[in-house]
Amino acid sequence: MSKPKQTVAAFSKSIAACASTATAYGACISATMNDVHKGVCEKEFLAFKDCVQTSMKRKW
Amino acid sequence: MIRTVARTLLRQPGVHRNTRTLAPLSFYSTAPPPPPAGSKTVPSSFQVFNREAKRMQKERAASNAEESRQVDYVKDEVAFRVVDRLLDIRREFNEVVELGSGCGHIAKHVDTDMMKKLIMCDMSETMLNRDKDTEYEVPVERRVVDEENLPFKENSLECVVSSLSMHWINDLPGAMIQIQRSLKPDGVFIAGLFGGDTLFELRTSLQLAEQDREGGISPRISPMADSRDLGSLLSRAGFTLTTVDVDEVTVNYPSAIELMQDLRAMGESNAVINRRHLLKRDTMMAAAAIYQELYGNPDGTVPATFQILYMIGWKPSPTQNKPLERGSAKLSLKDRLEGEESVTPKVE
Repeated sequence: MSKPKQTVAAFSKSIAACASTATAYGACISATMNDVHKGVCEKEFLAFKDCVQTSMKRKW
Repeated sequence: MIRTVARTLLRQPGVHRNTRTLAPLSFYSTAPPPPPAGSKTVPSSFQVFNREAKRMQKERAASNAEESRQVDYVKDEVAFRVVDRLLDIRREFNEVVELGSGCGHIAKHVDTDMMKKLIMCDMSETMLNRDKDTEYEVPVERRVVDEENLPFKENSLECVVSSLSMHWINDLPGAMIQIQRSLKPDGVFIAGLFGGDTLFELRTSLQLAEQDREGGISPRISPMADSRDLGSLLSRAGFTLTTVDVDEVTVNYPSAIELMQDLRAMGESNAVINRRHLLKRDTMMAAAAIYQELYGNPDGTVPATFQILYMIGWKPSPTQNKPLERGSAKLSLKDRLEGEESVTPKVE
């Protein structure tokens, strides 16, 4: 596996650290599976993104 | 009256000038002139992949030898299974040509009982030479060859193998016809390539993520061959005694991010012609979360399926065994089967 200094690995680590918000987002998509359109799970995604950004100490 | 005049005037000038200056050429057909003989021609309807982009991806992947060696696992495993099929043929080949050899995955598994020499062909020179100092049991020759445009003479090869490379060929029927042509009569072609179920988890996750984040989908995972098509493809290319079988390899990854990273290190990144060159960070993390939720294992890893289609075909030859003529049987299968059925209870 890749060294932790790489951004991709850090990104992956942060996603893993935000498992609870990620699961909430995944569950939302999974529930609306037949009608996914733009921003359908906006609220869950923003919570997830916020968590990842805090964990990575970066904003985008 | 005025209207018709105007219309004819509007139409006429261009036509007139064209027909007069380029008289016989533009009259009957607007098709482009035929390409010069011997040049590479893939009909535009078959253009799915950007071969030049694929070559660059392979070059780039192999230039980092250390990382590239770490991701040999899928290709090594499938190469082993292809060699296993080659082992079933009790024949010692002088030369075997391997198309799309990559870094030499077949070479790791073959021995001198099977062949005297292996010719490794790949479109990427860096990938071909990544392990050029490694000693294999069989002597190898490395050649830079475009699999869509084979340089071999007609009736010159005994055996052609290919492992996980033909899924990047644009014109698969054409490539198989070229292979069949270059084989000697009674020569054999054995190949393993990715099938349509490959990476279906990643395909679905990326589609759902893109739909939610960006409101549309783009081609991220290539279209791949279906097992039902391969039999017809083999017959169409003129192979006989054809065999097709399907197999799956599942690999577990920490997350979708590592899967995508490994695919890139293998040189297997997306090379579809009208692909999007950008995967937004938001979409990527959304896809990782969806992948985990929909397909994740209980231990937190995620599985990635690689479906592999194997095909075997022989070039026809008068020396090959052929089915007997219809109606020439001397025993009835029906009697035989019924007879056995009535015999077995008596024995018991």
